[in-house]
Amino acid sequence: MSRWQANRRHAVRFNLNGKPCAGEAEPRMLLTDFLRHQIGMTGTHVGCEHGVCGACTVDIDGNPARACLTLAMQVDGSNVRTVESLAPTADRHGILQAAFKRNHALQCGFCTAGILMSLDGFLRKYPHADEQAIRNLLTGHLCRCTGYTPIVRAALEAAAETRDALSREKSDA
Amino acid sequence: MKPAVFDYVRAEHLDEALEVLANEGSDARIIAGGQSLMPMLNMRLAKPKTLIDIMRVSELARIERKAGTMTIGAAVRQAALLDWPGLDESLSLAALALPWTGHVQTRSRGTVCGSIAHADPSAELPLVLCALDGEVHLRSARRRRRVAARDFFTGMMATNRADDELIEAVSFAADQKRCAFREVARRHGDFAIVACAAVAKDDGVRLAVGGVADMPVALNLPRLEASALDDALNAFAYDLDARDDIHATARYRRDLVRMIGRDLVREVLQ
Amino acid sequence: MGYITTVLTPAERRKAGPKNGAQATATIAIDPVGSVMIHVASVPQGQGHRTVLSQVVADVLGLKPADIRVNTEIDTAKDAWSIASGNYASRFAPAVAGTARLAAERIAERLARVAASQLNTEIEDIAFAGGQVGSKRNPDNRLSFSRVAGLSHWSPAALPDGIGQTIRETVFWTPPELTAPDEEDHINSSLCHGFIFDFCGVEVDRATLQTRIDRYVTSHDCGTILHPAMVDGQIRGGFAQALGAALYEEYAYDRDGSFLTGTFADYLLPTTAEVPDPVIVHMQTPSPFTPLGAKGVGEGNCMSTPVCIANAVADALGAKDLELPLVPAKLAQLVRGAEPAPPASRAADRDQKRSRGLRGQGEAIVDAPAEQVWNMLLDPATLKAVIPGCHAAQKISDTHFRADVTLGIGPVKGRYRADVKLSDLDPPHAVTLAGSADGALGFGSGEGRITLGAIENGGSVIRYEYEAAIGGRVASIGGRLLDGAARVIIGQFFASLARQAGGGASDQTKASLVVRLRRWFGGRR
Repeated sequence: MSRWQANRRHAVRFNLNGKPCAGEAEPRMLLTDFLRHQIGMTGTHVGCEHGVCGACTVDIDGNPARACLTLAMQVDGSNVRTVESLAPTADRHGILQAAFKRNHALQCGFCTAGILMSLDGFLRKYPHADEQAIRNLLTGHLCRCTGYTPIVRAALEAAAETRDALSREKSDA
Repeated sequence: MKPAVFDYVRAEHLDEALEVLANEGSDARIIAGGQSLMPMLNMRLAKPKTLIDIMRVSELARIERKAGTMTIGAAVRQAALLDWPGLDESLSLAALALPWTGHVQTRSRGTVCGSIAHADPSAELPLVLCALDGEVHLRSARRRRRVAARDFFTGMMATNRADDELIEAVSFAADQKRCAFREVARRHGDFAIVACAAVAKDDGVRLAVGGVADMPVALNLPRLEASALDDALNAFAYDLDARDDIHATARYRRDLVRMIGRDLVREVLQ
Repeated sequence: MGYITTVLTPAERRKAGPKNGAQATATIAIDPVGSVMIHVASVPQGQGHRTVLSQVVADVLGLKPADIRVNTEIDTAKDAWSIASGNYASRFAPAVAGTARLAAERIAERLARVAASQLNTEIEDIAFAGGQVGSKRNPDNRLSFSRVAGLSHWSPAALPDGIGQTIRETVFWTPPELTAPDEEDHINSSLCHGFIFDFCGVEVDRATLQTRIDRYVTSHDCGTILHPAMVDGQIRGGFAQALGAALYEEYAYDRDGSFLTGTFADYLLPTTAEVPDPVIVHMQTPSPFTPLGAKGVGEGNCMSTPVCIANAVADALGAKDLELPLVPAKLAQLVRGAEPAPPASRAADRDQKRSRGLRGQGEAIVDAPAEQVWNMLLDPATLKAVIPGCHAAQKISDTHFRADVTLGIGPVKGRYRADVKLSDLDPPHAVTLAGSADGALGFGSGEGRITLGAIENGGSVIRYEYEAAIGGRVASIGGRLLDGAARVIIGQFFASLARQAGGGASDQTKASLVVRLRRWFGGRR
């Protein structure tokens, strides 16, 4: 059993986007604030801080999760992925991001990071997800700008593109 | 919108958590998935002095079916139960209710027992426990006990759990007869305005309703014909003491209990 | 600017001087290697302004949109701006983008004169295309745009007389049609009007009264469409927001002014499950009043969609007046007839007259005679033991007590200063208790009438009726749960009182007392 005292900072270590990450947090520090202020990764946004809007969604151990409802200390030893992991290099977009751009699936962009992370994890697990499944997944996100249809279109395009890429890999191998 | 200060305890074994609870009682709270507790902490509606994280206690992460009983440990996430291969045969009511519980993003972290401990009157998992008349396994440093669902919920967000106890697991009889579930909410994934669960019994139907009274309430109905069933559902609807709130009127809730109740009873008795 | 002065009287307007117009500004600048930058005093939040501005300027100068740098940051200490500057009132397309075009045209005119002189042809013969500036008659007679543009930096002496410079052009544009209000407070509130025509079909579920939009068609005339995807983006966003206003979103307040929808759990925004895909149709009737003929499109559906949906629902239900949002329970009130009566065996005074106020009643059976219970109610030491979460109770007078309490529902706990007054005393039979509590999480007040009666085995029955109000943060966050919270706390008080009168209890007794109290709160097990 370990006990970490209030009002003091403690070491937090986990894998962030495939690389070891270390920082310090009080027990009450939320993962959103840890990522943004301790690590400087501001791609994860803070919306409502009560788990409804979805802007803060990240991937923890392969599952979408609300970073605002997670304490930094809870992810010690876990694998966390954020939106910064989606671009293969600094000057290129990942498949989902490129599909979002093509389909005008973002305007102000505030909800986008969270939606991308929900979709990324979900499509990895369910590459054949249909529109119904994607819409159901996205009921966990609030967007004011796009009316959602362009987002769903982008997700379906990205899913198809990912399936094609995977089957080409398989046939190449 | 940030939590007040607290000590954070990470338990590796169950008795570690129990010791902290024994020493600190109501000043300490268990955190499992955190999907119900964290919003309260963020809004400072709850200010425990100590949080005890039980998610690394491996003995609490088990889903077991043994000798006709399904047992779900306190560290089992809702998504894990939904993905459990035998769920449709063993606990079909949970399979029906879980897709209505929050969203994919909250089920990935929130736990089955955590939702039951939180006892929100509009939540789906407490309703499932009530409909199946399951048992809550409570544990403290001084004793273990099992409380039937009908005795566990004592009021709005209030349960029989003592300050030094935690929920170790919940259990249900696994040989399920036919069951049905229906929920009406403003939007998909919202708290239920009315949620109904019906389970066929040897001699009739057990109908449970959530979202209306301060806690889920169940009614055992014999096989009844049309107008007798309507009368029974009408009496039940009034007994639930529905209230007006911003999302629905008392009358609307009663109407839904009558209509959905009738549909579900018919469905499971077919 | 004239529009905003309609809040003043004509006399006040005369005194202050007339206000009119709506100046937009744009600055185009060319650097020594011929790169083009456009700056506007309008900051976008995702509407695609930079994309559209790069197009508008590139079109005038024969360049590619990717060649144009767009700056939408404003520093009023350094940049051109006016009191009307900003991103609001759908003015980007009609005013701001139009002004950018004017700035590009003015600098293009001067560049054309420079090119004409360099290429030895007339201005009318000059065309900007493909990054070149050249003669239309003789396409080989041309120069690169950057060469022509750079001359003003590198060899201003080579420029024809009267050109000035071709490095920077700032344009202020205000339409003459936007005049001040007249003496009768008449004003043309908008320079141009986009037009919308919507129609939709809905289904209202007979059981739940929830509305499902089967098909929604929205047709727009926003003048010249500058960028089809951006325009559709504005329409889709406006439609979703308006659908929220029509069906889900409500700032709900309690009778005492407490805000009840303070979280996204209660203030409901539509999600992918609630927003259908509208069919979008366009017409283009360019405005004669704006440089590009564009009219703006962002606000349209916020005006049309709530009305269209409400009209459809009214048609479906045969209703005349509908209030937004179209909460299913409220729609049910319009169409449902009388409710089946409660069974005759139930107490007649149950629940029906409920408004948003918190009302309740109950009974508790106590193993003590009425006189003893009465004395307990008036004794601060007993009150301290009996009031839930009480740390200290103070007797101010025989009928006035103060207490510090910590109250909680589930994990939600807060500290409160409570004030309790007794009145209308009829010892030992009845008393009115009026209390108020104040704390960080909110405030509450209530009044209850307590009556004590003897029962057979020497005990008494305490009957109470109360009315309470709870407000503050707790109300806005937990509006849905307030009613139950009040009942729980009051129930705790009487449970404690019963326990105190019965002289201590084990868990067993506690449970059975609670069970007995629960019966009177209603609800079967």
